[in-house]
Amino acid sequence: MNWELNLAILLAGVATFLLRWLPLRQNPGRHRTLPEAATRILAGIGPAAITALLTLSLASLVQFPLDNRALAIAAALVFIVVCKRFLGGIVIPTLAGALVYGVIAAL
Amino acid sequence: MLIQVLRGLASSLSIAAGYLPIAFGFGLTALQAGLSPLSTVLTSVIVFAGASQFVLVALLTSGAGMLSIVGTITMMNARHLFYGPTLRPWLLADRRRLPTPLLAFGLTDEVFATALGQREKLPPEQRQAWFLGLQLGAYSAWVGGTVLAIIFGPGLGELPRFAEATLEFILPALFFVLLLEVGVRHWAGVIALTILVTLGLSAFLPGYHALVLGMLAGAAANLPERST
Repeated sequence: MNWELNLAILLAGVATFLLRWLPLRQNPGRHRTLPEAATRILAGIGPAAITALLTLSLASLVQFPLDNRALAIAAALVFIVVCKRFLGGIVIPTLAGALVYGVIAAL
Repeated sequence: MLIQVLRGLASSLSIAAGYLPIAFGFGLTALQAGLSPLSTVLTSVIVFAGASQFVLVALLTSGAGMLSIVGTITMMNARHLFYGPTLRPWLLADRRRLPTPLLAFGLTDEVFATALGQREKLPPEQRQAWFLGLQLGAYSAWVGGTVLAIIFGPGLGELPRFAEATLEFILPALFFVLLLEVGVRHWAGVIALTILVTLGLSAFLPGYHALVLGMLAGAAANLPERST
């Protein structure tokens, strides 16, 4: 039983790895120019992926009827904007925003 | 090269801060579900894919067949198919210094998003080493968090409420910061359409399907010619 379980884990890992690797793999000598539309969609994938991840992660925190988590989210997002504007970078605004959320959500 | 790897490691700090508690939670969940410590660590070492690891544990312990396990995990992670083509022109703009399997192994949502946020700031010859460092930091935190759960999890009491809440908001905060980094005004149409479609579909579909469809719909908003 244990070897079957570990085999399933291994196969799931291989499948995940292939999803990440195959599109990144470069085939030497086959440089194709993508059509304009594909280039535009690929350019938009990044911001769209970040937005979709943010949307789902925030949606999972919001509960109805609204509790102080909704207020905590709003306060944290505003704090992050301010923090990012004046301090820049990624790490400090992220951790500071999470701390603001944590304090308000725990009230 | 080493300096760039270290810079990548430093850039992974916010990802690591988010991954540690989630991986810790994964470790506890897997142990409680009856997985051995070895299988639990193996999952984080080999799969390295947040939400799908939780689903994997649920499937394993429910006695699901091999085919449905691998099929479900593949579907859940199908969005990763779009990350490679987006990053490839940027990552491989210079000659290939590192093998692509090494660059692809740790390409998680957060690694992808962080790389996008930073991509304007790195010259081509530094990108692969920086990206490797970014992945290493994220991967170490993920595997480390799982190992910590196995060592300390069973004897650990409950965290204070504010600490729990802080930890649950690290990844949303990271995504928001990264969105600011890529430029909210520049991508306003893409962002608005992604939110609408993702939220709308998440009412009917599992989150990972809503994510992929929302992402594609939002990206399609970039199709019309920009005036700027």
